[in-house]
Amino acid sequence: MEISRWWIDQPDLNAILDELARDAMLVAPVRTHGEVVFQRVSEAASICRDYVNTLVPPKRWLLPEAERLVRYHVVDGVPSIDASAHEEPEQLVLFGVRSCDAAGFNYLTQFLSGEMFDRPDTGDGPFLARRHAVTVLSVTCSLPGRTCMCICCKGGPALTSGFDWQLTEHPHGWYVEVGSARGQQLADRFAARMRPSTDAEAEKQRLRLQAVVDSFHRHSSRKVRTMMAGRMVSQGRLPRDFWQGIGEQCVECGGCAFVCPTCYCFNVADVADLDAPASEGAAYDRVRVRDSCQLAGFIRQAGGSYPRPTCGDRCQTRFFHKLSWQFVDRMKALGCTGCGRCVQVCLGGIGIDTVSEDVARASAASRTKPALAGKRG
Amino acid sequence: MTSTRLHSPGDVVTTVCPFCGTGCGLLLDDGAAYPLVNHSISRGALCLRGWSSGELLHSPLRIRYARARDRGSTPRCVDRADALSDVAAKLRRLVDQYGGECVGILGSARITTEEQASLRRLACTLGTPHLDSFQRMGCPSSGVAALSAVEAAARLLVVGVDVAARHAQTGRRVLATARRGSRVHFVASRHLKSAGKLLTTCLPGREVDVALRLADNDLVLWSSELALQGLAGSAIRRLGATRSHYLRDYANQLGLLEAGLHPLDGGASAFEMLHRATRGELKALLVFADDPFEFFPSLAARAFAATELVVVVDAVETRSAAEADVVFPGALLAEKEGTVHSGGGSAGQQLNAVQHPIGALTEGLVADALLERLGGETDRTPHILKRGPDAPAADAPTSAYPFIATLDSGTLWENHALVKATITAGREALAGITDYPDGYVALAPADARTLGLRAWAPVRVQSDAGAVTLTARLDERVLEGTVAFPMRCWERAGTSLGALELDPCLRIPIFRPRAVRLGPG
Repeated sequence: MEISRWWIDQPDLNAILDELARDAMLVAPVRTHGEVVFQRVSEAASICRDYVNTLVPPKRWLLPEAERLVRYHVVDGVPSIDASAHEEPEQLVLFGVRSCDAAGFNYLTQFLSGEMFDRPDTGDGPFLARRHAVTVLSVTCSLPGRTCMCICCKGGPALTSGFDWQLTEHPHGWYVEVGSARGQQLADRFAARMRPSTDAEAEKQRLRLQAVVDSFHRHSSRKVRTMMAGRMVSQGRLPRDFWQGIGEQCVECGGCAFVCPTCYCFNVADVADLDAPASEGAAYDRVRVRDSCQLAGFIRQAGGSYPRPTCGDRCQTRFFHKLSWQFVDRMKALGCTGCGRCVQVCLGGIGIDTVSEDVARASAASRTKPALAGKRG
Repeated sequence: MTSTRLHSPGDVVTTVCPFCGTGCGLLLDDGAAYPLVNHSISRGALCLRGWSSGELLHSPLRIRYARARDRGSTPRCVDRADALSDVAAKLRRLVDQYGGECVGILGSARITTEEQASLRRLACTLGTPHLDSFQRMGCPSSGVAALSAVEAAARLLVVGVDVAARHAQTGRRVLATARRGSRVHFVASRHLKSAGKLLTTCLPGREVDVALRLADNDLVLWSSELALQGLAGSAIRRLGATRSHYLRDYANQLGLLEAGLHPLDGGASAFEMLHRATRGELKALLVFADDPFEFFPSLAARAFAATELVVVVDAVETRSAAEADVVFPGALLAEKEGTVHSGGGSAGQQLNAVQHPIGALTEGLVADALLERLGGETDRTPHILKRGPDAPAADAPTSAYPFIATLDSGTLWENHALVKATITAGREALAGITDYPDGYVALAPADARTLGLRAWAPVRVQSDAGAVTLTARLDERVLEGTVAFPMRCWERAGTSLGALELDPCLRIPIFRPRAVRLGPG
């Protein structure tokens, strides 16, 4: 869909958000206990505006940390599905999602819809139902944060597609790009509060985004070395010892995957519901919970074999997914959107910036030491 | 009965991690745990146990109802108040008949300091000095530095602890200190994550000696990994002369000492209590959020069988709960108000209840209900845990027994009740048990090659006291010339090899490093 560009004055945006909040469908960043998290809000005034990004990723509204896939009862040893336990997802509007996370939504959708394999019939039903029920009003950043690197990864400060609305705050109002049919429906609903943007406002918008990019290049010490690191991991040019060294620093907490906008690893477990009425027989929920490819248990196969037995081997896989051209080709985007959360949560100091820098350094070394190239784990 | 929320669904609440003694701040959002960013300890990061801690709130392994059983029969749900009165009456009868010393109380580092103090009052009321917890491990009452001291140190010495794997938040700060240019050195009897060239290795039981040679006004970090080898006395006396910081294993381990939950004058320690019970000297055993079966399944089974009344109060199912006569539901820290002495320094952190206790009781409520029924007395005894002499020294290798066998205390969480009640952390912890259900002995691959031993093959480990045969696991982290047992094999291997002893210094069970030889099983 062609992107249309609009202007909304500040009071009008507040009115739009208030109306969405009254419909009990608005989720937005809120400051609570000193932290900023995405929560359902009842009025626009409670939305936090002075934040860079949340540590708790908004992907949880599409791919929750734990969700019931199916509920079943077992009576006299015979299982039966409890269809009444199925719940349709609520219609929601997510306001304030940053571009890196909006890019993550697109990445998740590409994989979980089956588009990655040209197999939409293999799409993930619960995820897609939630995805179709959510309208994303992303907001571009005005300043890069301490660990932000979206500019390296085409994850921001603004996206060129893949959003419903993309808003940018200006001194007297908001520049709004409408990029989907769902976004257009919302624009039609609030047409009275929007007007087409002018060329002057488009120019202001361009300058505004350029200022963010300039600020990043001037001040940020963190970068994702997508080109050099991408080449090295794509061509398998790093020796096994390199990845074992990275693995030595990983404490296998799984945090990087839990907060990553593009990570979708999950585990499925059957959990007994001990609060269920005895008259219904034993009740179980088959739940999907977040997981990480860094964890040995995720890799373990039936019979006790570990295809990637060391933490270093698992790190190699993780960063291959994040940086390789093979995955860019399949997913139509880099596996890292540059949100920087892995940098924040990593106890071992091996966020994507450090590792990609180490890879780049190894690349430089390989040019002077030809023996390095060609050794694979 | 179902749990009731204190907050609406979707509300964000904060609490403290219930696992180790680091004291990470948690944000719980609809049951999912995230680290608090603006918290002096967690700073936006958690270990896997912390990330999984939200799963505990509604785990199917939670104990929800009071239950009782006659020996050999199936447990039945009972009314809580009736059961409490029944337990109080039985305790009164046993104390009248045999004296207060017929009762033993095992407490826990998983409960608040106030609850630990209630257990001490309960011991005083019953007139028993037998009060302790297996979770006291080697925790000393002093030498607890704030994490900020680790960051500020110009010289750091990390002794006998895999700090990155066992105490990840401390490990993070140690690494940052090293990157900043401070002198950081590690001493251990196995290869450690992240230590690299900063590691000096030595035989098990020699860590304190080596540390003293290296220490030069360093801040010294140590943990129960030394204490479990019988080195606690040596570490407290000799490393304490410099600045030492004990890294705590469990959430409120320091609270045990603050509240005086340890043997009273003339009382038995946790390990001794089980032995007394097997001899019929204890008639009642009250277990609050502790699980003697975790490390000592055989001893605990004999102790429980020989005791007239075993009462267990716990938030989650354990083998102890399965073997008890009466079980009451306990609660998680997230379901309580009170104090935990986790986190940097010795100051307590205040808890806010995230939800009501899932079984409508807490360990403290059970203790207080018993106190009310028994007529609670004031605790007038001093809170001093007297230290005894050091444990015997570790063996040195000989030509007949050229290897040193030790305990791999890196497996501390493998069999822990709270970990097993989570999905993800539980899966990771249980992998070792699933792969090696009958236990294993870990060898250095080079040693296995030299001896012609193969992975998964049975290996006979023999000391001058006896032998044990276990499956071989090849582990790059094991030093050549040593073998290591996971903590769940502590009792089995320790008993067979004569390594399971009581450290007279802190009166905790230890695995004294023993000289052994290896051969095909």
